[in-house]
Amino acid sequence: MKLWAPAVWFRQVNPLLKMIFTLLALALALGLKTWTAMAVLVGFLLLLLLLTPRLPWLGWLGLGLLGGGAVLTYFTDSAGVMLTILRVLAILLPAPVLAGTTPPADLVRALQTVRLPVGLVLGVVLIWRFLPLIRQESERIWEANLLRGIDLKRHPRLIFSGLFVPLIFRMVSYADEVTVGLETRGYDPQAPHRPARAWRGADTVFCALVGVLLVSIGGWEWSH
Amino acid sequence: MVKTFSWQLKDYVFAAFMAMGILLAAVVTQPIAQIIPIPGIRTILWAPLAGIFLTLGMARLQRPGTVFLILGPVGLILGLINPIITLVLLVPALVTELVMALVAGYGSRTRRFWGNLIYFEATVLGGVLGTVTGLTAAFGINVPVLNPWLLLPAGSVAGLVAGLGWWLGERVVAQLQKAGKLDIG
Repeated sequence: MKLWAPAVWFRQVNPLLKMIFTLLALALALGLKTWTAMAVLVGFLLLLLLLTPRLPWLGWLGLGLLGGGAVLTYFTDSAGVMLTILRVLAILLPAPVLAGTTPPADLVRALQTVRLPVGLVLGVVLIWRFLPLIRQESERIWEANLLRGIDLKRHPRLIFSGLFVPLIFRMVSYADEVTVGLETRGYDPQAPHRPARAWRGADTVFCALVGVLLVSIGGWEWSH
Repeated sequence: MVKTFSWQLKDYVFAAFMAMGILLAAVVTQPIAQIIPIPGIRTILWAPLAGIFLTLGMARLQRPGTVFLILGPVGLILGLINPIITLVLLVPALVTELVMALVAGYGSRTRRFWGNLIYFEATVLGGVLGTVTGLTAAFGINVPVLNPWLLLPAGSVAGLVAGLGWWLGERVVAQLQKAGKLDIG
């Protein structure tokens, strides 16, 4: 899929910065008291949503509704309702923005540079890599049951023995194979962490934009 | 022979695969939980499936820290959806680890039962109280679920389903052992 230039730029921003911004947005969503400040935050998140490859239409729709809602709220006495709607949006929006604009490999690489416990990082890396495989495996087991004439949808009491037990057997086998694979490739969980990724221009621009956002939100919040 | 207590690569990998099972259980049950407006319903639906993988992980790894090692990556991944989920998953895990550290881990069936029970009960109570506090703080909504007559049945059902998850998990442990697939130290 061909992306437009701002979307390509936003994909280059360090995933750790995006994660910090997600937490910051959530804290602001819970803490802000004025609908105008919240509208600034949601507007910024909707602009970022335009940069996702799959959901830009949702961003345009959201911006349209936000504009309409803001005009309506300005001329009527419905600030409380508007604040609640915007708060829900501000809580829901950061995750799709982060997930939609970060390639999984970049996210894993970024997590590897953080000095998190090795079990945590290895766990996330393995889940990211093998979860689709385990899902495929469960589909195969389901189909194998159908071939044997057992439709698990119609016999839910057989789900445990017909789906879960074989799936767990496969998972345990995979765990053993992955361990052997990692050991034979010389993987050492205690080895030094990867060096942090170099700071890029995209990171600076993103931080500057977030700084402007915070100043604007602070201005609206304190002036009301 | 002196038994070492440091985690090895095989432990990390096994915990990660159990975490995958728990994540799949969440993916399967959460869409259903969203449409049932009962306090603690997410845990009640999730516990029987997640309990299988948690019990299996406890049986294989046995040491204090097992629950945290399994649920840590799950909390980190689901935290990308909402950081509150991380807290709801990991604070009960911390409580479970603190309690179970007193009995030195998950070496027996009884300890694994208690580990499951404590974790899922703490998740229900923490989840309900956290949701109520969060909703009240964020939206000024006075949510009436703090009523003990609603919390009590939710806690009781959570205990039952945690027990069910543990029982199913122990059945799988027995089958894996019989097949020579599970090396319990």
